[in-house]
Amino acid sequence: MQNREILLSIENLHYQYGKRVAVESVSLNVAKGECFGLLGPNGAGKTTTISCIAGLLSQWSGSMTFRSNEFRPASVASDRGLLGFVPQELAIYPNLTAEENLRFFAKLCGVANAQLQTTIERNLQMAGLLDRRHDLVRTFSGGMQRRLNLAAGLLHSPALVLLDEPTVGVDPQSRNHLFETLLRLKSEGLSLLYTTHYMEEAQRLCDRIAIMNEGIIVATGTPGELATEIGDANANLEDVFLHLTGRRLRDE
Amino acid sequence: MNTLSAAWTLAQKDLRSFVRDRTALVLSILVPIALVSVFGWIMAYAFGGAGGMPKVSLHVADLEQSVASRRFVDSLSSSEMLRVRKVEIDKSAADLDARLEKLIRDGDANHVLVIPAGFEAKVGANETPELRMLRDPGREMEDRIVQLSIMQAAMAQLGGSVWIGAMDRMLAEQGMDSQGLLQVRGWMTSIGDTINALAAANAASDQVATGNENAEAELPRTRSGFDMQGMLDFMASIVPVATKDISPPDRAKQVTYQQAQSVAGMTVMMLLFALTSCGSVLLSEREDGTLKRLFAQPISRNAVLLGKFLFVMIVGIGQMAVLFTYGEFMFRVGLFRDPVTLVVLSLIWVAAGGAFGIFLASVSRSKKQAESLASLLILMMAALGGCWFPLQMMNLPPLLDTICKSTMTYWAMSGFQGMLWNQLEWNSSRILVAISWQVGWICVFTLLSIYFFRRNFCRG
Repeated sequence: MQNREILLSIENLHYQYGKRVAVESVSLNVAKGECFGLLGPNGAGKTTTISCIAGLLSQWSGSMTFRSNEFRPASVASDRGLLGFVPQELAIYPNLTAEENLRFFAKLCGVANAQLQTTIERNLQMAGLLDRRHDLVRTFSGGMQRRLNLAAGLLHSPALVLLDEPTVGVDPQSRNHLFETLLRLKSEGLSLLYTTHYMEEAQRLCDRIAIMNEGIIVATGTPGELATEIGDANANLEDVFLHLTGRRLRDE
Repeated sequence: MNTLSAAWTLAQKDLRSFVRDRTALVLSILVPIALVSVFGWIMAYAFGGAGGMPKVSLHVADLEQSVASRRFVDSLSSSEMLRVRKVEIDKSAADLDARLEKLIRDGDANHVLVIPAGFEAKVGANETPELRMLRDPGREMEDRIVQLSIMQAAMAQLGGSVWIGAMDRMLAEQGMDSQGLLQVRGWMTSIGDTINALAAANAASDQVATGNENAEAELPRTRSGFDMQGMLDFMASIVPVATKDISPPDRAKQVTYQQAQSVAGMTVMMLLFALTSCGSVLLSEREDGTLKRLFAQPISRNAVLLGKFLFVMIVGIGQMAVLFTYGEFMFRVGLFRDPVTLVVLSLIWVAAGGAFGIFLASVSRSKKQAESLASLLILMMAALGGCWFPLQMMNLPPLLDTICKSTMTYWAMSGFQGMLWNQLEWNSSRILVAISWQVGWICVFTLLSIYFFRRNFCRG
């Protein structure tokens, strides 16, 4: 981490919906080639944090930099172009084919016409959908749609991809495919900011993890560092999570 | 659980959900109330209100401005069937006739009655005055009403001169010489005096019996089987009105005003429905989650809104083309006679409807809400704008008249009617006014759409 270039740096991020504080004093850094996990129960503020970074929310306070430059994604369109974004919802069009979906998002991302076809084919290949490229998305299984949803966020080869619980409702095979894809992309130097509340996902994918609870980051570190922090070097991530966030039921 | 209990449980659940969706609940009550109110209001005037007779506009050009001619115009104005509009015109103008004809050509008037100079002298001499009528042919119902009303006014105000003139013409046609005519006139005058004396005596006794000083003779009522055209022909022979038809040279002969009205009205209304439905793709994007991804792309938010507007425009143009092609095929109303005007008016209306559709989407919280609002507003605008019934046939009070003439549907109808019926070109004053109003509405809806889009979709 110390030797890696810091891509995204956030200091004291604060956001509130009306009077309800959703994110408070969140600070984090994501390095090049790193998978940074935001782990937390429902309503912890993970999606709000990612939405601020993706430019979906603008009324936040604090500061953000991308490669040490001021980063204002909500108001500067080109800042949003630095990121890939894979939302929690299946944000693809069911009445378009897989290829048409990717072509549409690639054009919006600014992929040059000359590279369009190659880019689409590479991403279809990555999603395992090359042979279904001409099929309407509405005929796809949930897992196939999730894979396409991921591919649509990677089209312009961004340096950092925001993934907001990308494996919700996915069968084990597709989930495994997604993990393998993300690990390969990470090994190629892509940075990931990944939110989830599945411990095994975070354990498997993330180099460092920030555990969020009620809008604040309660701990940050590698899984090993977090285990040490709670005084049990043999604790798994779930133990750490429950220790830091408590066993009380959470509602959104 | 048996079937009935299960059904009741399901119904309870649906009712609970329905009641908790406050907006849908309010709309479900408000929409029918608003529609019933507006349609009740408009329909009352569409069929002439309590009198049961629609009012027809009659423009009157009184070239004499004498006591007799004014009395005649007043008599026309008192007709329950007419809305008389006096034409302010310089009677010494060399192109007087051309100016009057232009009123018809531009669709500003459908009937112009010209009272010529010498009217009073003719009446004083017990001769039939020579009235002239310029009219837009093809409006049979309005024609009959105008004709009947002129007869009534002539009978009421010109009295004996009308009958004597008619008698003179009839006898002259039979070959009677002037000596014979004078003799017959004498007999007629004598009979007339006797009838008038009897009528006066009867009226006086009726007045004593009822105490009603303003008792008016009842108008003859149309009975079942009554030959209206026969009566009109007979009356036309009593008060001859020289009629000149003013219509565009290549108006298809088989086209009726009703067909032109129906094609324009239905196209205007149905396109609004289609465009508001398209506009709701904005709400679909939000409900499906794709809007979030669009907002995360390196494009401006306005591009998203503009993209939706372009989509609605393209679909609208396609639908307009299909509707007009079908309308032309079915009714032969001459839609493609002037392609430039057709394209200009279609583009303007599609843009106005598209802006309205996007506006509705931007103020609605869900597709369901947008659909309810669309039904309410479109049906109201269609009724008020004259898509269902020609507003010229309605005797609207000033407030409702102003409301109707403020709707964008009214101006769309005015434009399409001008093109279809009056065969006006896009640069004629009437069509330019219609276009200007629609452009105004486009600006209003676009600005409101941008405001509400930013407020309801982009804020956070």
